[in-house]
Amino acid sequence: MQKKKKELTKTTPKEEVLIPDVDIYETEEAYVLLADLPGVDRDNLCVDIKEDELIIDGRVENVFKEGERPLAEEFKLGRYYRKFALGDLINYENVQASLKNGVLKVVLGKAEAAKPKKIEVKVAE
Amino acid sequence: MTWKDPFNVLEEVVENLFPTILTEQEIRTTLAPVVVSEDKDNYYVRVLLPGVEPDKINVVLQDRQLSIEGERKPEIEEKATFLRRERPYGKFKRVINLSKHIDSEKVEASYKNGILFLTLPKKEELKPRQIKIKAE
Repeated sequence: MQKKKKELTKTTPKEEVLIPDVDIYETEEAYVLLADLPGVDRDNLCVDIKEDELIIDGRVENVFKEGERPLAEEFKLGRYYRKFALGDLINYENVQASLKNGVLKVVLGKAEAAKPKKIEVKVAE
Repeated sequence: MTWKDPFNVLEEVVENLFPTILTEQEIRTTLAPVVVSEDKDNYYVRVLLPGVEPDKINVVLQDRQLSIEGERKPEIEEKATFLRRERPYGKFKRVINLSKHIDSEKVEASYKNGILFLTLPKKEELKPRQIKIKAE
């Protein structure tokens, strides 16, 4: 029993991983993902597409000063991490990411097959 | 519309531990969660407000009460439809009761990467003072 416990603590990651809240909306041309990453700046953010997954990995550097004593804590900061499966509706050549005021915006261009198509209806004479 | 609130449990704990610091809670505190801390010279308040332009945040210190107010609006382009919606939005107001003794002239506020950061200097008389005992 003792031994098992030790092993468990060994594999537990030291830092807490936060799951960022996201909105996803769809336009005619693209899927747009917005993720809240408060405290993350550009140097500590990695947005990656591996195979058919979008991976968001961001880190907040310690914002607290030495000698600060907490009085009320409603949030924690640390590392944000989340993965999304993209599938074949995305044009992988056309993906853009930007970060502003702690919000990440990823614009994923649609593959041709996912774009709406107008079907002309011919009127039979 | 309902939002699942991961801070709900924490909120209760905070309320129990610090019943006088935070009042007038918005029901959805996910919108503007705060961390209040202090050291010997200052109180510090940090509020998570990602995506809110700093000029749209209203911070008022009245006596010993600090209030932070604003609105977070959903960002969406025209002719778009939401597929997933988790980010909270709406009006928020957080009220924090601090000590009476704040040097209001020297309060500093900044906003970076979606976090509002306030430094509220304590007035002199609040700081701990070493009292020397004279030996007779």
